[in-house]
Amino acid sequence: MKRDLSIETKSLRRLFKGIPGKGDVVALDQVDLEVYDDEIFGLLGPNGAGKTTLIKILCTLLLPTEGQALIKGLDVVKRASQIRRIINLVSGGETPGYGILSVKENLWFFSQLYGLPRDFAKDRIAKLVDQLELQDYLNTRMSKLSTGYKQRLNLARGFVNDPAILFLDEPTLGLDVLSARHLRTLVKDWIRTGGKTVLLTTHYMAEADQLCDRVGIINRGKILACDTPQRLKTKVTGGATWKIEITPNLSELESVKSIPGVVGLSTTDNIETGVTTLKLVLEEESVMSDLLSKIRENGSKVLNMGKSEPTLEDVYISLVGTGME
Amino acid sequence: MAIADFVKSAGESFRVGWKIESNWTDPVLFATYQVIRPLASLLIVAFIVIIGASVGASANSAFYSQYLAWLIVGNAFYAFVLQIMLGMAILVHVDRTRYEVLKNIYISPGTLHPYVIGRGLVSVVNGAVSVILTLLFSVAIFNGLLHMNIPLNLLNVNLLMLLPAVILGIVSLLAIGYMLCAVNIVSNRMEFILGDSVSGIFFLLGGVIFPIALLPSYVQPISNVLPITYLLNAVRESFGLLPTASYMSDLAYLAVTTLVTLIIGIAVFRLAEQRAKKLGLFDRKSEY
Repeated sequence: MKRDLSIETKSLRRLFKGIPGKGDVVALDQVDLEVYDDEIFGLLGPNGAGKTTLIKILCTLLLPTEGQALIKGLDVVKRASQIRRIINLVSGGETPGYGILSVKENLWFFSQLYGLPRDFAKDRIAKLVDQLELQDYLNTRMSKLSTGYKQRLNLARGFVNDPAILFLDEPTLGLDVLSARHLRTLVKDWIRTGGKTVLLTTHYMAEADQLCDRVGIINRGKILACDTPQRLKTKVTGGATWKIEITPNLSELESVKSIPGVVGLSTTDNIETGVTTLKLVLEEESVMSDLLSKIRENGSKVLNMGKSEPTLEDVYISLVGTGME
Repeated sequence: MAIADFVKSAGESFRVGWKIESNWTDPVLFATYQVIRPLASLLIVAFIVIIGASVGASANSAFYSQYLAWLIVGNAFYAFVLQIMLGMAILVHVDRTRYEVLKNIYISPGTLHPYVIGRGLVSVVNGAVSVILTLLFSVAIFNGLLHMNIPLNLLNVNLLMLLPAVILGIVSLLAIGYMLCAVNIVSNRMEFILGDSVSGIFFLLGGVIFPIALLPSYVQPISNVLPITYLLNAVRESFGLLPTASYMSDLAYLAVTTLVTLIIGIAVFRLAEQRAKKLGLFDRKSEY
């Protein structure tokens, strides 16, 4: 069955003026994207990959340089006013409203910007406050809220007009584990109400894996891959992902990366134990002997190694060539 | 956007703006702050005039009393200019940089228009408070305390002449405030000088403290295209401080200059909005 498109971009390109003499910066490069109704779509990529630029264009905050972006079939350039009725945006790590106003006053203000009828707005705010567990802070000034509660308010603001499409730009940035989990549950519950779409950008692979129906991996303005997390894992990594613990760390990381057959490599250092964990995506397992020789040449000792289940991080490593950390 | 929704958004923006601007202190201190600036400015000029008149041997006391009344009314109504210019010049900067809500307001159905109007109306109310308090304090000081018999009777004001002029004047000032918001959208370096600069130009050229006929001839054409010039003329006429014969022509000039200012204001705002969308400025943060 063919599903309806919520978001569509066609050869979308966005340039920003660069430093004089250095030419323009390509933030988005021929991006073709299709996001469907009832879908949580995740955009994964490092800082500067183009995630926020794409969201800004889709939210009518920024004009594309070339190409086309459509929201429910409406062009973001020509039909912006119609689009604004059906979208909302929540950005992580930002102030969700006026610090001098209470939670209730902030939500009321934004509900009225969307022209919600008084009684409907009251019910909607009461429901959101309940869902986001903000009851105890209803009359608290926004400036007095903790980071977690500010982000809950931010999310409530994003839901206030019950948008058909919600853009979440790194919504769990700066949140503790529990708050982030709570937020993810809310988003999942909301999408189940039907006829909704979420476009989420995140740095956190596990978040995308847990939350998203499909994921697009973006780097330097290009979408490198786009599919369900499961399919991406098998398709891109081919299953050959390895985790090796060594000590001390490799002095020449590049020499390992340059071994033929090493598709991607990321490292995580444990400062307390002095152990470095290498996550590798290999073309084939025969590469392993060259790899172990190179590790020994570097003076490092292998403490533990094993094949691991591919994760979205492995997909990312294999596509971009390095980890996001 | 439907008109009813527009009004609702503007009304809520007004309510929020009022809370932001008045909630920082208690009501008495807020009212004092609203009156202290225009009153201080008036008293400085008024006492220069009074001292000058008393030093001059041929001082015509009737002329100076008349001039003081003219000065008080000009200064009092200049509070609208001051409040609207200073309030609207900084609005975009504060909501973009400090509260980080500008982009969220922009992506709502009405974009920035009802919000700017609602917030501008807060400055209008602040201005009205300043005007009324300045007039009351001036009469109390000059006629009550100093017994100067200035021909200023607040009960004899012709409201049918005053109200149309004030309404048109406020519309023109809001249109200029719109332009200041527009400049602020595309620039992040002018918010602290813009309001002061524009209101300063109006103070000098708008006939606030002296008749524009006293200005150099090459500057007078600028005064003649400023709505505030005709606003203050019409206001003074409604107070009986200028001949009422020229009221209709002043009101007509005020209407024309208001219309032109409104058209320019909307055009400038649209240009700024397009440029901001082109460059991605709605969520720009100041880097200083």
